[in-house]
Amino acid sequence: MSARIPRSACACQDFNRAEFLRRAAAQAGEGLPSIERGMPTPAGTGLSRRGFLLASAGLALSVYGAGRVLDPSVFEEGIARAAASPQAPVLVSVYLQGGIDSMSVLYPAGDPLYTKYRPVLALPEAAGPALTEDPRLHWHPLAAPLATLHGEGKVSVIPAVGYTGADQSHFTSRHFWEVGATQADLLTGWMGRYLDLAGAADNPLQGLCLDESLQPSLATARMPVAAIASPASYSFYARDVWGPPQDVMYQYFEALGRIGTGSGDTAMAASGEAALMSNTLRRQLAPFQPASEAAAPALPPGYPSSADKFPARMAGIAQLLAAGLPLHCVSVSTESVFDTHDNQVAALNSGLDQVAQTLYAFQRDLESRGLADRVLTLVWSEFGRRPEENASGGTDHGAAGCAFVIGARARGTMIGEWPGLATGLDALENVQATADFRSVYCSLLEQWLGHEAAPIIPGASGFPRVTLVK
Amino acid sequence: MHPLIHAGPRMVKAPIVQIAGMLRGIGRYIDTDDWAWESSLVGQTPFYPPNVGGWEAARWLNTGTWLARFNLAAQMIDDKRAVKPHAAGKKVAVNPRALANQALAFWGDPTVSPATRHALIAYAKTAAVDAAKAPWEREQYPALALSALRALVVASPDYQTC
Repeated sequence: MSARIPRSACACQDFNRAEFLRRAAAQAGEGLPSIERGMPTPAGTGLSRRGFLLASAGLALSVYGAGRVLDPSVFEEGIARAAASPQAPVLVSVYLQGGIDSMSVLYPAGDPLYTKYRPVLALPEAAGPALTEDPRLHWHPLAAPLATLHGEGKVSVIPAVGYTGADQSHFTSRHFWEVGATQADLLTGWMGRYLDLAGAADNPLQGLCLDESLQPSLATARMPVAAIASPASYSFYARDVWGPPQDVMYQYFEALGRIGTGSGDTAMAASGEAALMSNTLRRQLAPFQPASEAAAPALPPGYPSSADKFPARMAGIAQLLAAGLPLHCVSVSTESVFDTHDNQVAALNSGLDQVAQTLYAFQRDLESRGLADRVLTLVWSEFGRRPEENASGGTDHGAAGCAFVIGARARGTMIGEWPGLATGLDALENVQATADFRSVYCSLLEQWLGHEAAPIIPGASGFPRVTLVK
Repeated sequence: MHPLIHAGPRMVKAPIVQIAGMLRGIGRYIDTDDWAWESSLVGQTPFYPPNVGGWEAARWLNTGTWLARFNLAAQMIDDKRAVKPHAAGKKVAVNPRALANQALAFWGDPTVSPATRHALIAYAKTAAVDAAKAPWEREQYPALALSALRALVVASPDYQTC
């Protein structure tokens, strides 16, 4: 059912296989089969998943965790009520898949060890603008849009974020970031646990994931949350049929409809009439369906045109907010895969270019719609990569990576510091974290979402708070 | 039962009636309360009519409820009842008439008009036979077509009315 499964030529086998299986399993709310010994079960595994058409907005949602709710009109009312209340702040989480090479996003141009570790991949000192807060680091030239926002005080840079004891596993590290703890057995996401405490039982848009399936960081125990692949979906779904037999099936809606309208019986004619009208609507909406190759509606200016859905999804967040929908926590993942084990330059460049332009366009979009004061965006990846390049023109899984908090109300000052290559590497020669990701989460919960972190992040009192919001 | 129970014009089945009939036809009965939700999407929230007048029998079908009604089959066919192309083996017919019969038998052999039966067979011929050119297609399309036929049977005006 999903149009494209991210599969990167340069990513490791485990990553590709996991993404393929995640898409297939997600339809049934099942977790990933075991791909790696000891891998954690993704948060949200086993949550019930129900389709729901939000009539007021024409949105087709998958609602997770509806629990005891038997009547979906509860959600129509809940969403309307939440939309009429004072608008809550919005936290957007953008996940860069695969462990982006933070040492290329912000490269230690002036460090003599940089070219020693990366004879092939090292960027020239003058290629990108220096980071004003620490001129040892330069922005990758394609990250220039982020540098511009940083210059406006809208980006808090976290140059070395992670946790101690990383094992370089995609599944484990991603899981820890999603559940907000270094615990393999947690099945709720960090934002999910926040929503369980502060959310409403009847507003599934409070935790919204713009993807075919739920991002584990939004997985709740009690409150409903939702995923939406793209707005305005009018999809007929028969299981276990695809390709030409499916296409022909749609053609027979018309045939069945005419049998009804021609039957001479009032009730059968009503059924036939409904079939014909539904088929007409299906054909009219087909160009706008997510799986279609036909032209998608145009994006607002500034967003890069792209074969993948990331820019459209970010633009979609701005649109949904502008329409007054009561979003609170939102999650998007890139389709670009940054697991650049080989031939890094091409994959990283095209992915980073798209991400930087999209994040910049999103910020401008919010500003032009008067929404900038309400939205904060956290950009993260499951780990950074090794300082030392490998023999295939790429880099392998590392430890600390970079993260960003972006928005008009972001404090705009650096969190933690770049530890340097001379003394800042651990026993495995990976970058040591100078900020723990849980400090970032605790600080966001308290400063932006206005909720105590202790009941949400295990061990919250042990993580220093950092100022992220102005 | 008194014969007059079955007399009178046909009516569009209320959502609960359609769902109950489908579940009974495949022998699944009630193993989840999801059907209350699904029924709401099809236009009837159990025990919660729009007003004291109850539900209006003539107003069950619009483009939204017809979509939800069509999608019921996918909810109802659980993994053990599904037709998997790779595992189909000898359980799936290739002959279009036999395929249509298999789809009808799945739902407990509901009565359908000759016109509808003819349409189901025509679908099976187009989808499972004419469209299948390569060897792998000839092997798999009958199973895919059977899955589609199951959905088409319960979407037919015959099945949606009684």
